[in-house]
Amino acid sequence: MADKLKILITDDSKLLRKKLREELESLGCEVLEAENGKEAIMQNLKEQPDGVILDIVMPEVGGIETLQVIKEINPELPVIMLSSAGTSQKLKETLELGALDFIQKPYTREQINQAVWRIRRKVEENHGK
Amino acid sequence: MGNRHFSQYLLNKGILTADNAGAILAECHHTAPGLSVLALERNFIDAEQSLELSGAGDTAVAALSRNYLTALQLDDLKKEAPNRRACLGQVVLNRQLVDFSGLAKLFKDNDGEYCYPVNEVFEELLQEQGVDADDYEYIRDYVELFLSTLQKFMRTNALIVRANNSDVDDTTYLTYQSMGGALSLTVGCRMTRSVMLAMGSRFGGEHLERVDEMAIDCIEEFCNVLNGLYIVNMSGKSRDMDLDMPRTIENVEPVGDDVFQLRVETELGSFMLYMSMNGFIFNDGKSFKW
Repeated sequence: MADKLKILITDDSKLLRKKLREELESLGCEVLEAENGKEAIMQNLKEQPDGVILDIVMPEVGGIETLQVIKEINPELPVIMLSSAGTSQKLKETLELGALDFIQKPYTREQINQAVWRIRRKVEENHGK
Repeated sequence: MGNRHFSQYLLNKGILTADNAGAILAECHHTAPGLSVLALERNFIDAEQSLELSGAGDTAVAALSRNYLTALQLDDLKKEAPNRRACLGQVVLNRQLVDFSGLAKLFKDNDGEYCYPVNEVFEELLQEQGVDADDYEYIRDYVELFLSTLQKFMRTNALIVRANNSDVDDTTYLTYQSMGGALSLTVGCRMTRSVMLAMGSRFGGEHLERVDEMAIDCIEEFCNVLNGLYIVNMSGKSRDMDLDMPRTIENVEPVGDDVFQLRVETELGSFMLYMSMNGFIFNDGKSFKW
């Protein structure tokens, strides 16, 4: 693992991607972007990010299906859900599918700090195995 | 500190009216409250002291030298983020709708009394527009959340007034989103180009000059966040709902027997809010009245 975490943001909102990119880059991360689930799956195969921040409500392939596919490809990849649809049902469903955490939009800087910290710790655990 | 519904409180007291609310809230957008009003709003000084300070050349120096404020309080006021309640107070004071003692009383009474964001006009409109009584609760909850979220994320005073059917000669944009599951609700905001740009800029923290992908995205993301909060609230009441994608269409008007509509006034301009339990049907809405 390189020192710089490579994180893939998957969200159809251009605004969200721009703001989150700024936030993650200020934390020293390298950032990749995908605007839907299909692109996220392709990026995962091609770029092999260290972690994914994933929206739920997206066109073409939604976040839940994307999470399932990503986890089939790489079960250890840390995925943080970041969505406005943070109902208890969605929270339960995504955690059962292997998401590391769920952040309800709008996010705070502290939540993103925490998410990056959790991704880093998970990546280190995976390397220690 | 009172709740965020000071504009509604002033409407209830008759200081704001359907006729002047739009102009007064728009003026707030360009008005910074003076130190004398800020200190009054925080209850650091009384009406007499506030009046006295408003006439002083250097308010801060005068406040310190007369021991009306401590250096700590002064520092606190300087650091404070734009205070919408003080801003609105300053505008009604400038317009001589109240004097210093009247304003002091309004701040104080508003502190001690929870002001519901959904008012009598809203209740009247619900009845006039024939909204099914079974749907009242959901619509009221939604509108309360809508106004609170608008005030929080757009940093603006906001309230509901009766539409005055004035013509709007500008392109309009309807951003809408449907929620389904235990309850179906479709909601949309219809704005003119200038209001959309002002609101999008405020929410996104971007300087938007034209209605492009980013401008549309800013309003859609605001709706997405707001409606997400609504379905999370509903989930807490054991009513699970899902969100569809938000969408934006130019120059259309949602119509239908059950489409409930409200005019919302904010510091960034007026717009129409539409709600329906059965989804929207669209009319060509080039001739737009609100």
